[in-house]
Amino acid sequence: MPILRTENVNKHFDKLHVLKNISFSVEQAETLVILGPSGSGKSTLLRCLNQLERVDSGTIYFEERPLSYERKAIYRNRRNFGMIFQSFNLFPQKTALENVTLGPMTVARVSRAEAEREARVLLEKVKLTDKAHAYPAKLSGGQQQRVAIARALAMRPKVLLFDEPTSALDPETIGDVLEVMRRLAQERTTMIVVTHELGFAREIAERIIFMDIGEIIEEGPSQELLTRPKSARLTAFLDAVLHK
Amino acid sequence: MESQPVVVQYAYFFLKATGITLVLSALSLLTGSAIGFLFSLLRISENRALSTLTLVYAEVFRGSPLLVQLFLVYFGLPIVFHLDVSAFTTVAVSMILYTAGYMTEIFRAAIQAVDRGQWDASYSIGMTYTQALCKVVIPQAMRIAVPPTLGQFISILKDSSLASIIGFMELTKAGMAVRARTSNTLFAFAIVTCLYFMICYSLSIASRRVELRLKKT
Repeated sequence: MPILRTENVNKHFDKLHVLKNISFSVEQAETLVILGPSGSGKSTLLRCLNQLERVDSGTIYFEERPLSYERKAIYRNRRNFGMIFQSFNLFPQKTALENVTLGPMTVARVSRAEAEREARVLLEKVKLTDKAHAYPAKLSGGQQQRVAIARALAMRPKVLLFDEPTSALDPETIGDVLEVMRRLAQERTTMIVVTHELGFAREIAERIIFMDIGEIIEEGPSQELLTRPKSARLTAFLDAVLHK
Repeated sequence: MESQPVVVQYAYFFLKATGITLVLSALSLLTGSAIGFLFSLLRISENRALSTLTLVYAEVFRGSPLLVQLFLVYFGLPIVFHLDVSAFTTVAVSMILYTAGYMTEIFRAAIQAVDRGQWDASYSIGMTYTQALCKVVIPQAMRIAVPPTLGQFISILKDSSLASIIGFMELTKAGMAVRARTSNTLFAFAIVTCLYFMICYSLSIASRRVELRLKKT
């Protein structure tokens, strides 16, 4: 049974058809990478999964139950997902520790002591114990992104959504973030990762989906898809990324 | 008394009037801000009726002169509600309503200036609209709103001089009274100008300092 599945999902932004009949599924404990050029609809697809965007037609099933768009159902469903953004989106007026504890304290109504205890465990996991009391502005991009991962994990989501987590990072800090993601994959966390890091995709992902202009063009086991692309568009995309 | 220079003779009078101007302006800013803050929340809410109503409010009160609004309250309240209100009430009510219009727009702009990503992040950890607004967005919006709010304070402080026209004894009216008593127009209004300038300039310096401090963090 897939943990997450979409059926003929369509989404428009005004006249732009950004998702065209998207159907795919993710298994429990799987790491799925979504590849594709900018504007192919990858981010929009992720945002539809945790209902930051509303689909125009089609259905998303979480644990085989269709997602409802009733307000309270949306809030409840979002807790199944953790999301990591390209631009981190940390809360600037809060320390790293407070960024991690805010969700558990306001949404899950965990006590401060308990939330802080767990947050310290998570900050240790992303190797930022010494930055617990630092504000985001004082952290490097890679450090901010790792705080964002800890913040997402604090809500104990069932699926992690990564929206180009390393695209805004300096090359020297990308490694630390990928290292954390690699560990999560090894711990059998269910992850959907939109990325341009082919190395990460090859090494970590079980499966890859390649999207272009709102459509799924190709889908398959990562090794196979990266070494023997079937479509001309994927071949061209891989060439372009590798020779950048 | 007669032998003292006029400046000394009227010092207490001027200071008292300055105090009244300050109190009146602060009262307008505080109460107007409270109303404006509430209205800004309605303005950005999904409720069409409330959003439109607050938009119309802000546009009307920002789109007509304070002096005209002052006349409307001064002559209107007695006619419509048969209320005999004091000059102070008239002036205070007018200035509060007027300031509320500006503050609605200042707070609305500040809330909408907070990065969309902050909403996304709040929602992604399961927060409701109200939680995201109160815990994440408003604290950031408040910082954004500080400089324009101080600007509004300076502006309303100067506009409060209009209250003199309906006979309310604030700083400008005090200048008029001293002019009548001493027949020294230049002296009276030079003092009044200096007092307004001293207050507004200090506020302006404070505003610049606050802005610098906000930029740093």
